[in-house]
Amino acid sequence: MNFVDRSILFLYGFVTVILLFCFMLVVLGWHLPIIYIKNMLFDVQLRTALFAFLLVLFLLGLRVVVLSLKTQHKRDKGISLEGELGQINVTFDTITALIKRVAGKIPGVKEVRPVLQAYPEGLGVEVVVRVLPDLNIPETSKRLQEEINSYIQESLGIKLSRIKIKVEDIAQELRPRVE
Amino acid sequence: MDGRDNKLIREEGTEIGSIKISDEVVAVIAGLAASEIPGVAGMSGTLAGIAEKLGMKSMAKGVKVEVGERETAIDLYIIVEYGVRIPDVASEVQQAVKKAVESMTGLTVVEVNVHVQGVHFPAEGKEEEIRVK
Repeated sequence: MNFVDRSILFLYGFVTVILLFCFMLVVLGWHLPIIYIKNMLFDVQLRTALFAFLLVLFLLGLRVVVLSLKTQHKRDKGISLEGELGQINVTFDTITALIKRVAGKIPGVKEVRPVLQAYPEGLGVEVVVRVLPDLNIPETSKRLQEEINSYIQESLGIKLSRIKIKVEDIAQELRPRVE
Repeated sequence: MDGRDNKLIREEGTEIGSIKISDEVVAVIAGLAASEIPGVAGMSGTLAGIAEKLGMKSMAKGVKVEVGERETAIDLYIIVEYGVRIPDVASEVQQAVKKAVESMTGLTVVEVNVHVQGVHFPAEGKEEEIRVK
């Protein structure tokens, strides 16, 4: 969801909440809005303004509905491999999921966040991780690079141009509650 | 499929009548052929996915077809199993879909584009379910 869509969603939600709140107050006996609306309906200019407001709200609502339906098949970023009978496209989401899984299997590595990036020499990845304390960080980082590199090569048939490991923080080790 | 009506894609006149094949049929054939390939966890839905949530099962989920009079191009949106070699699975899907559509409809498949939309990790749910024994 881009910035414009997020703004639309916020605006629509915000206006709807206010309108619903006013409506609840009307139901509880606050009749002032009804009087205002009645007066508005007799004034052509105010009526036009009210119609314009409702039209904008309606259009925002439509956009929100379209957004909610548009979950899959966004032609999201990915890599394209040439197949015998056509293209084979693999989305970045897929590659990210694979990297997360492989990195998460390495002992001591917690909270893996891979960020794929296109470099002039090809696709690369920056993997932001948290590791457990008492761990040899250079060794673990090297192992992470090796495991990610070999798995991506094996499953996708491509070589990542760069694998940057960024150890963001030390994770807290939770003691098991049961043996 | 994306908002496709039952557009007529092929009509053949024979001595005793005409044969009509809709693009929905091509999509279903392609979808079934693709989901039978080992390593394919399922099809990734679009509007057909929404229809499925509403209780209407769609066999053409994750398939988009473009058809001409004699040829067709197919786009498949799939989810693969974790651990498979993606180019190999995609290539198998392309071949199986081409074979199935060509043999069943007589149309020439000029292109089968495979879009890998995600990975399925089989043991994910089970790991969380059982916390202690």
